[in-house]
Amino acid sequence: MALRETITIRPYQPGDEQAILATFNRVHAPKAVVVGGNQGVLQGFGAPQGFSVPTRTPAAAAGPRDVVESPIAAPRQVEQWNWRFRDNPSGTRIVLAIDEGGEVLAQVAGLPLRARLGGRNVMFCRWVDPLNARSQRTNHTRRGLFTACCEAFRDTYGGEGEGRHVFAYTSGSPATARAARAYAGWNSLGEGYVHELDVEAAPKGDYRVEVREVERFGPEATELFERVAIEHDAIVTRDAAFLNWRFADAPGRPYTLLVAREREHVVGLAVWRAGWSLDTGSRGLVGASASRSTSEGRGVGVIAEWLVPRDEPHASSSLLAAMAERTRAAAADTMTASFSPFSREWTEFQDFGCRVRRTGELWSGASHSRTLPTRWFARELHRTTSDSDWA
Amino acid sequence: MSTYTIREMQKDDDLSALEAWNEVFARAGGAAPRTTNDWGWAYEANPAGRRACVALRENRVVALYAARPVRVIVDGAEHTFGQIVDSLVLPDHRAGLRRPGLFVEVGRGFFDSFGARGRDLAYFGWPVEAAWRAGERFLSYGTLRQEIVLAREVGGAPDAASAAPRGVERVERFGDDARALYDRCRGAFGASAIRDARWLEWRLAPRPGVEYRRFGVRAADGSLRGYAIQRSCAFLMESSSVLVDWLVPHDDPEAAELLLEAVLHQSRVDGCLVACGLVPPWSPWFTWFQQRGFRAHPSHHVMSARSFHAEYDLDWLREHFWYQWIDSDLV
Repeated sequence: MALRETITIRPYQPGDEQAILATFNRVHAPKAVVVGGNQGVLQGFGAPQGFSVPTRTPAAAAGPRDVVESPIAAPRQVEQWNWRFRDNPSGTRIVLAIDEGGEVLAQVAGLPLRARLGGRNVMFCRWVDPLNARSQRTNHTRRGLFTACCEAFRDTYGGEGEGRHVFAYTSGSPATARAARAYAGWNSLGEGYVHELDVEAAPKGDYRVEVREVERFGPEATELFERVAIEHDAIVTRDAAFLNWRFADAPGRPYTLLVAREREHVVGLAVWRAGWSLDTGSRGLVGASASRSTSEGRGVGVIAEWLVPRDEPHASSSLLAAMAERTRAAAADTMTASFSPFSREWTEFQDFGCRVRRTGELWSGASHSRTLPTRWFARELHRTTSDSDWA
Repeated sequence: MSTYTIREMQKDDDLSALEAWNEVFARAGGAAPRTTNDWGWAYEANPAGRRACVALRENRVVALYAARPVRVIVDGAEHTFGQIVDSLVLPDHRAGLRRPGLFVEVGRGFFDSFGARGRDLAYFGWPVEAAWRAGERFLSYGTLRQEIVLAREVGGAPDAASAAPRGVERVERFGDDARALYDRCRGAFGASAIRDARWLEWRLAPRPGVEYRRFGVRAADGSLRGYAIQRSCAFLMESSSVLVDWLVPHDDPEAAELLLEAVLHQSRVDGCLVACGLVPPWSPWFTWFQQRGFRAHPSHHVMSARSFHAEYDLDWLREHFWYQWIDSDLV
């Protein structure tokens, strides 16, 4: 597909990564002024390696440029790109707009994710790293080019057929949500919330359960996922292959992988990392009122993943106690986790003493199902912290 | 080609519109039938006026798209919002037109009449799923949020003889001090319905089987320091104590504690098991209530909205619109 003679819109091909990274690192270069005091956060405790941090330009600005101007802690390296896209066990989904000189002008990318939908194996896709270069040298508007990439992405990968993703989603700032709505035709899935737990109020653990740190997850993680999956109508397949790619193989290895056993049977798993509070103002650092919020750059223990079957009552307190210990060791006093509102964990974590706080991020998505509208996914998709770039 | 007349609802249409409402919502939907008094309260007595469009065939209302207008202050200036209510199409006319259907045609007429001409700044509501789908597809509805309800067990024995907290009074009628209290509080809200005596007395007007309890805390000079409005009813649960409205300055925690205790006491007296309320999650009250035993529960109520002002779009409203159950027709 060609827009005029000089710009080509096509799926990613091996060898494109250097051009993608050149554009990515140029448009994500940290700015001198960042609303909400994010610079402190970026340089501080647990800043992510190569993930874009959802920041906010002033409320009036809207569009894909906002999406791509979020600064990152450091330039993304090819190692990080390879892990994120090339090594994803579910493949690579990227559509690029490239000029005749080989420069990447726009990108719509997603992480394809194996998933369960009503018990069936399907594909979902999490939209990441939208790009729109500022150095575009054509008469095409940015909106036109970005929209063309969105449409090509949807037409190439979305749908109900073999290998296509039936549902796509993302989370991010209101600007990201506006771009997803305006340029990709997506709908709102809802606001982001976190559960926050004072580590001093964390459960003390259960004597019947032993929590061990592991290097990688084994087949027992897959068995555990199968027990959890039957509770949900829509869930990303969190089996060993996914979990090891997402956490064990992540560059820099910031994650601690924990497995809970009771009489040698695996009864739950969790992934923890030192991180930072997504926002600290009551209205959210990434919210439209970001300029009015205050950022404390607060270090927290992030519960990046959580997999405990309903019928394992002793696992949760022990996993939380183990993560509270690590959070204290990291000199933080709060643990946070994120769950979709209708998940069992949303309620259970309040039983453990968590309070719910809105983050200011927004979830957006698009259903490609002939029978299930986006609003159904908004309600039924089981999400944890790892469904966003925050963890 | 449409054979319907679509226009703003006139007073002469009221009886026919009421009949249509009762046919759709009472006879088919199981709601309590509305009387002419109910209709007059909604469409004649509202201090902010009426907002409704109808589709007529042979002088009979066969479709209605309406809102409850409410005066609001947005960024310091007075405007009008409308809560979309009572939208209906009589069953025999639902297939009377090809898609997008009569519902959408009347809705478009409504928004053209009241929104696009600058009469109202925004509309909001909690539509049922079918209305939301049509609204999203054809009427530019957007999702503001899935409501997170704050709820807690009331606790304690239901004891009518126990004393309500000292310092809290029952407010028989709101006076000018309601507006004064609202003006003290509204700095924390970017947009909010003007809580003055006129609106509150209209909104809380006595109805058969409906009792709103108004609790107030007053300063030494008699002025209102804060109020809480409570109703015991079947809402979300069989027997709920609903915090309908809560207006307390953030810098008066003593008044807030007294009012919450009064609401919980009334809940116990009424035998309610659960107390629940709704505040926007950006508000510090969202945390305050959780610190006092309330927990955050997702509800199936999804607020949708449509703005007619570029500056105050849905993203802005999501962050700034202060509303509670009193702003709905649900409680």
